[in-house]
Amino acid sequence: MARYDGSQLAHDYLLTVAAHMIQAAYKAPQVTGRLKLQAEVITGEDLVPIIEVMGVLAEASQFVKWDYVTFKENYEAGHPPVLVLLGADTTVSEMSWNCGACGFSSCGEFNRYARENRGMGQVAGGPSCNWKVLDLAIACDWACATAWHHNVDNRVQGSSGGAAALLGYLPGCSSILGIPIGPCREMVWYSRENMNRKFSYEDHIRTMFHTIPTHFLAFPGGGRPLFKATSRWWEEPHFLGVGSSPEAMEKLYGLLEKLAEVVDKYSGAVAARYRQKQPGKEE
Amino acid sequence: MSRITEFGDREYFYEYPPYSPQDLRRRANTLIAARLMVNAALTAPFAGGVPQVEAEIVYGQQEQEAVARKMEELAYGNPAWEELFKYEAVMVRESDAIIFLGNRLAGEYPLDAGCGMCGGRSDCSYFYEKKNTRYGLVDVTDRRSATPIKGPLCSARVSDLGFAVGSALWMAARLLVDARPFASVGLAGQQLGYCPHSFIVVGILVATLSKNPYVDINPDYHLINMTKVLENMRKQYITPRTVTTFDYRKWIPKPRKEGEE
Repeated sequence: MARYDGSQLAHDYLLTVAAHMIQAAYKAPQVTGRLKLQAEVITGEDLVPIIEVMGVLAEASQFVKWDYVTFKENYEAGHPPVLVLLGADTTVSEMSWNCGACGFSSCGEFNRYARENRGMGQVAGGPSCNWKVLDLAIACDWACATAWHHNVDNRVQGSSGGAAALLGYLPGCSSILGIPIGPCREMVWYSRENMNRKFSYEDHIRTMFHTIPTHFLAFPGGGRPLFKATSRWWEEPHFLGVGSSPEAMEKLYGLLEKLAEVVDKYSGAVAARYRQKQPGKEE
Repeated sequence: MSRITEFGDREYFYEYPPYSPQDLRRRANTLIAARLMVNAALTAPFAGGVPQVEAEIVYGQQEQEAVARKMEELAYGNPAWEELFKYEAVMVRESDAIIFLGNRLAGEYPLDAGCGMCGGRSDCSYFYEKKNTRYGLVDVTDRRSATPIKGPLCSARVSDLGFAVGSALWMAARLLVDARPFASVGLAGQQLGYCPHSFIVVGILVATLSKNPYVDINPDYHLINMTKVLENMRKQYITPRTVTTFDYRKWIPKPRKEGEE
């Protein structure tokens, strides 16, 4: 006879759920039938480089910060999420459908362009065949649905997937989506308790001002965008302005340098693992 | 039903013959599954939670025939499509229903996040440089296109459509209803005006037959399939019956008994 701690048992089971998710992703129906799906699971201290890369990206992007804080705090609290990575090379089309969705009139032209212009965006690589992107998304959706059916909180992320891609995980994949699962409690990735008190009331309102400015505009007939920035907005009129921001760009370049340093610190070790043996067999 | 004591009925189900009352009852049930699949698609995860997927369910012999014929027309527009589309047109005819899922934003309202999927760049220039735009607003009034889909599309939006398709298929799998996603069905549907606001459409065929009509397909499927075999059977059987005729009211041939001359 043996006794098990329920909380520990639930946490250990996350790895089994990850396996079920990956099985579902491989089983997911495809439109092209040609997606070469790759999958990997990152656990425990192996999350550290990914969290660190997300930490740098977080300085430039609110949604990455949101994911970064959730990852970091759960990791530090001793119940790290398990990260499922799903990726594929979406930059090749073997179908000759010539559908035009990529912007080229034939798959041949697209393939030639893609070979010469392959590059990385803020979360994924391209140029992509949209049907491959669609198939990767179907696979990803099945993985998430599987986690849901096991009652494990999860969320599809470009942030953790993009960080993993920068570090060199799943070599050959142009696009990687990250799906963190757990830790085991009611809500982790939705209505995030970890984000409580991270943004002040003023931060939230500023975000609204910056992202939906027309919502706060006064009578637009005057031609000047009078902005209702305070409750007694008519007393101290604010006006909306549009302009470039050299400071923001400078900050961004600074972050890119910082990002290169962090990636440099870990990418050698990540690449070495793929040379040594299959990641699935790693201890 | 005037009194509650009259409550009671019988509902007989069988898939054969096609479009018989017993088959129509079965198809009506598939339609319930298809509707649930659509709702599953609408609850799929979308980047930023933005609504963008529209759906249309199409069913009925005439409606499905029109989609199948459009696919057969498209089949001859591209050698890579010919066999594929002809085979899949048969599947359209054999289905109980077609679900079209399309993305309304992919060609006009990109995610604008510089994700990199469409062009491998960290901005959205690949998309915008190929479109007629001002201030990031896309003029889509020129709908002429040499290709079936007028690209480029925002691949993040296409990815979201993939999530929707995945959730619809997941619901189908949970309901033990056969379903598969097809580019061919989507392209045909789009040209017929289904999901009219979408820049890319995927067609999901749905069926609840004893044999999943989307797998285990034989070669020359457009020529050799259940409908064609049955049609040929109807043709073949009539002729031998006709040419060996007799008056059954007066004499019916019997097998010869043993020892009989």
